[in-house]
Amino acid sequence: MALLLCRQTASRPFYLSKLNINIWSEQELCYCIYNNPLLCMQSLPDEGLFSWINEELKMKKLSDRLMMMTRAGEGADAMLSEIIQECNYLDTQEKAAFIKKLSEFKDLSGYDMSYMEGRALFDSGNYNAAFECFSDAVRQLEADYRRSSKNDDAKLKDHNEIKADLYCDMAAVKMQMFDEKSAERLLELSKETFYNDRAVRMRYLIDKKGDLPEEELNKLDELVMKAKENARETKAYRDVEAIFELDTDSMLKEAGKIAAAWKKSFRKM
Amino acid sequence: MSMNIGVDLCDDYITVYCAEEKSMISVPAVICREKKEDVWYIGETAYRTALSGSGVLTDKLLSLLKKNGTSTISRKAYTAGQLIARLLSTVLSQILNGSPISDIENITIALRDADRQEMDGILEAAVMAGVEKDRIHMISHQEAFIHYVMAQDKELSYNMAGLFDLSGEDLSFCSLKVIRGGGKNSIAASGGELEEKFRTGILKNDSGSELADRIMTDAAKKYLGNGIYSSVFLTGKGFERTDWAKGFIEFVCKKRRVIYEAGLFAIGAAYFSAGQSADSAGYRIFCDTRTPAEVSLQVVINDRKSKLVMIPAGVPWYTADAFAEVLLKGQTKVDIDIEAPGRVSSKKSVSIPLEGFPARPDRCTRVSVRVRCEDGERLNVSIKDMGFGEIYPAEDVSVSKQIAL
Repeated sequence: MALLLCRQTASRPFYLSKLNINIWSEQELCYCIYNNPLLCMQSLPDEGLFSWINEELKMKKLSDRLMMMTRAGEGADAMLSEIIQECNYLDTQEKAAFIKKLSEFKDLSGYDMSYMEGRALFDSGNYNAAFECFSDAVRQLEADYRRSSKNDDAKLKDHNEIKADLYCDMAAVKMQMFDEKSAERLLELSKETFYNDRAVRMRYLIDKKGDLPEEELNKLDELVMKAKENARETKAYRDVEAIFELDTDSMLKEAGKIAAAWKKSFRKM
Repeated sequence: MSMNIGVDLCDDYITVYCAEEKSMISVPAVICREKKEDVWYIGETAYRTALSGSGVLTDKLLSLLKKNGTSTISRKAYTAGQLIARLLSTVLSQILNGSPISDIENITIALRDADRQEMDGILEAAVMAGVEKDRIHMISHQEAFIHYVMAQDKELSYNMAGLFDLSGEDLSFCSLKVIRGGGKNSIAASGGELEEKFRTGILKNDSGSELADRIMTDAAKKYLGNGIYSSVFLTGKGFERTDWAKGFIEFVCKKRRVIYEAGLFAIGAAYFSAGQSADSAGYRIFCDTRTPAEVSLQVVINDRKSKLVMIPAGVPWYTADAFAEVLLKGQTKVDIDIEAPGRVSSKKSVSIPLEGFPARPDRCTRVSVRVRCEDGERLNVSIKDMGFGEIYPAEDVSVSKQIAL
């Protein structure tokens, strides 16, 4: 239990494009790095950030060190570790664990990096960028397969299975963007690459079409009903319901706020 | 040429002293406006004009200010602040001898009571009189006494120093002690109006003088008997002549130096203006216009616990206002620590729960903590939700608490 001192708040924010967010303090910067390490490794350490750290956060020593590290060719993980160490947000143990986690990312293959970045972007609601990353993951996967010396049937099966799963993930992204047609095409592509139940189930959830046993179909229907029930219990749903209890002026005002929030998340896609 | 001014303002009189010129003006704190013209007089001239019937006199301006009162003259209502502003600007013009008010480098106004409402009113009046706000300082008689004594020979404050102030209907006593050692030297002053008092009008006759002398002698025995005093200062109109106070003078002069200074408070205030204060000599001051305790927060910086002093002890409480922003880690309250220096057992921690603050993940709620002294005894703390940037926007929630210092 403690109070962490907030040192300097910026008068001008720094924009993290991958997360589509403005940050105003060292602690917010640290929070974003800690919760989105992969995205930050890909995009963050650059001279714009270092200048902002110097001019807005008044952390000249850190900014100078980061510049030196760039000139020395140090990796993004080392620079993010430096930022984490200096910011007054994590405790010593957390910093050590996080720095270890960052160094493990270095050992990931090109495919793994792209895939994990895509998942991180998907989780943060940045769907367009997530789709690009998954597409890149498919390309990396194919390139890794071509480079591999041992391309027997077992290797091909594994490769196709992973690729089919990736297509399902890409279909999920398209569904979030309300692009059902693209989602259906990707699911068909997934089945053609490697026939899998996941693609069939997802297809059924879109348009109730699918050659699955009845028991399986009933389970899926139940899943949809439960998901709808759960959705009714969420704060977002209750907030919208509550609006209809208000008088006309308040209702329009609150509806405007919600619409603005939806527009903002749509733009983020 | 820049001038540093000290003002002693009471209901009875206003005394102004210029530190550079070493000149002083003291006039009754009364103001009079001609009935037919917008012409104003102060002091004795005001009395004469009122007596002649051609003007309307207003006196006891500070009491009028405390009551938020007004004075209606020729069908126009004037607030106490406006009248005090006129009084101030007239007296300042006299002491500045033709120089503009903008030549004032600093002006310090000493008041009998350290009362925020009164100080606010006087500050406003001084601004109305044409002085820039950041050049105006407010202190009490106790503090003015401290600055005056510390500018004198060190022998006078080797032990305690005492002060008797006799004017009009008021008699007050103040004692001052220099505390050496323990890191930083401090000066503590205390005192106030005495129960024993008399109107200085009784000094005009023998029996009144005898009574007054007896009252003063008893007061001296009572208050000077509590310690060893190197010096006793006398100030106020009542001590302009001391032939009525033979017994009192005989008592106070035993093994003590006794000094009469007419405008002691104005001079002490001028020393403060001129940067010759006890603070600039490296002393920490404790009196009715200074904070009696240190206000701090326990914070963490880079995993190390640290004390963030928000308001130090011994600073003017009138301007004591500080704020800090902190991030909550594993707690839904803020603890304010209060400690009077030199007294370890006096440390206390006041916990302020953050009721009504939105529930967020740990370390995602920034709060601003503002502490401001209401007066020398009470501290106002207000804590406001600042959210966590765009990640968790701020909500319009705050809590406030008043704490005894």
